[in-house]
This record gives sequence, structure tokens and C-alpha cells, in this order.
Amino acid sequence: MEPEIRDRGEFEPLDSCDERILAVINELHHRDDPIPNDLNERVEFVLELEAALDAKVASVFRPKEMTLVRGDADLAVSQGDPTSITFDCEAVTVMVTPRPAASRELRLDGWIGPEGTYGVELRSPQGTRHVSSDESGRFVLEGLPNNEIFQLVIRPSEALQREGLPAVVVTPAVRL
Amino acid sequence: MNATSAHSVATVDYDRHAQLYVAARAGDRIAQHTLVGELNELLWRAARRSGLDRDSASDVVQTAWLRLWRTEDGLKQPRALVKWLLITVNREAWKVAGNARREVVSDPVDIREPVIEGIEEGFVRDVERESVRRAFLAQSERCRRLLAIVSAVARPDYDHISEVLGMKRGSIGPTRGRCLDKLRKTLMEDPSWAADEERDADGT
Repeated sequence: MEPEIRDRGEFEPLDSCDERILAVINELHHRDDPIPNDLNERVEFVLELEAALDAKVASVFRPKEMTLVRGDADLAVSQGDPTSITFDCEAVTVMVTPRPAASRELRLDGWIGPEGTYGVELRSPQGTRHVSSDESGRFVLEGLPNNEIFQLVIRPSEALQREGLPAVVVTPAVRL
Repeated sequence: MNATSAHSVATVDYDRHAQLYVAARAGDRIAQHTLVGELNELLWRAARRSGLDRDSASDVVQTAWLRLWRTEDGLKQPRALVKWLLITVNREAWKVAGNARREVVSDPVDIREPVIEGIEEGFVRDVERESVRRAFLAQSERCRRLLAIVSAVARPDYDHISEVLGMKRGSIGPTRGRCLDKLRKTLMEDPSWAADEERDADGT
């Protein structure tokens, strides 16, 4: 057992030494694990859209983390391509795989489940692209700029909404 | 903000964040910009300290803000904003990390291979910084998490954040807390820190 006197230290008010220690801990994190310099911008970018939409927000599953996703509503997605990103929201799952195309350009292959037709909006600070998925939920977007941030806005068809899918699903902005 | 006493800063901050939040929800872009700027680093650290890599931590921070903005009619208690955001980040991090978070991940401020240092840009001297780093890394994961997050914000938030992280403190103002107390004891046992303290006492 620790002597009782040791336990009293934690209730002492912070002094200048404590403040100094906390300042150095803060400094260490600033230096070694800084917040990405575009993260504030990305947050503001995605909130811009959100203001006008009553949308459901998707979680993002990155390949490294993706093994099997637990939980009743979650899909167990087999992981084919290490560059693919999965967005998951209620019953809707979107998987996108970016591939380099022409120089400094990307092609984005997407698949949305459950099967059906979806409107797909790809927002970036440069503008918005619209496509529709085919009936199996697949879509392709070509000629996208490299190293740009993108946010997806997915709109399930009315038929899918009647089956209980939300009207709009939005994702965080990812850099591809 | 800096001119007020420690106790009143806590009050001012929560009210201020609450006001910024209410204004931002009403469409005030400047309020939104300020709020994101002030709280994002805190959320970033919470996400990173949940064992997420940098990409996933960026996703989770955004998701928390997005969820906050779509919370119908807003938060019932705007003063609980920071708490709400931190809890949301923690939950979302847990969800997306799944099994991966159980893997041993290195601490974001682990000791690295020495790099060639140019001019020291900060006010923190090397010896002091490395002493604190070693002492910090010697603490439990739970304490490192708390200290990393707490150090990102104004001092009086310590008790509040401890509570959010399930480390409830008495509401008696900013006390040292068990984690900081332990770290301080580790530091005192470090000869290079002690030497540094003596130099300070000599009036440098």
C-alpha cells in the first residue's frame, strides 16, 4: 500500500510546476503528432453542406482497421483492395476504390448496398459531380483531381426509401 | 480570457463555447470557424488516443461535428458541448477501430530515432522536454490519454474532462489529479529533471 500522504498530492491545486509539465506535454503533441493542417478546413467544408440537409452521417472504415465489423447492423465487408474506403450508415454501405488514371487524375469505382439505384454526389471545394448508380448500386466517377478532398452525398431512390433507407447519407471529407 | 482567475475562466469558457455553438447553429460562419479552431485539437487528440491512425482520426473528428450539426434542434444543454463532442469521438473511435484497437500501437509521442535538429523553435528546452516525455510514456495508457487531452485546453477543464473520460473528480476547482500527480512523482525521480529544477531555482 502507498502511504496515505502520497494520495493527498492529487488534490493539491495546480502550481506552476504542474502548468509547466502540462505545457510540455502539449508541446510534445504539437511537435510529434500535430493535427493535420487541413482538418479544420475539412470540418468546415462538411458542415457547410450539413446546414441545409437533414442527413444521416456515415462512419468511415479504413482498410487497415477493417477486419470484421461487429454489430447487427454492420456489414462484414471482405476486404479486397487496400486503398478502398467503406462508409457505413444505418442500412446503407458505400465502398469506394480510387485508382490512378491519367496523370494527376483519379477514377473512383463505387459500390452501394443494398442493391438499388442511388443518386451520388461528390463534393469537393472545386465543385460537385453528380452520377447515378446502376441498379446493382455500382457507379464510376472519372477524371477526378488527385490529392483533393471529397465528400459523398448519397440519395437512395424512392423505392429504397420505402424499404426504410434514409433519404440522404453524408460522409466526412476524405483525401484521395 | 487570460486576465481572469482560474475559476472564472472555466465558467467563461463553457458559456463562450455554448454561445459560439448557438450562433454557429444559427448560421454564423465566424462563430463556427472559431469553435472548430478552438476545439478541433482536443478532439484530434481524443481520437488519436483511442488508438486510431491519422486518417481514421481525421474521419472520426469530422463525423463528430457532422453528428453535432444534425442533432435535431441542437443540444439541449449547449454548455455540455465539449463533453458531447468528446463522448461522440470516443464512441465513434471505438466503432470504427473495431478489433484493430486491441493491437499494440506505439504512442503518438513515442521516442523516435534522433533527427538532426535545427534551431530550437519552441520555448521548451530539449532536456526538459525529453524528461517529461520519458515520464509521460511511463504512465498508464489511461493517464496518458487524460493528460494529452487536458494539456490541449485551458487548465480549468481538467476536472470536466476527467469526468468525461470516466475519471470523476470532485468539483473543487483545478486540482492536480491522480495522473498528473503520478507523472510529477516520476519526474522528480529523474536526475536530469531534478538538475533542471535546481538550475531554475538558481535564477535562470
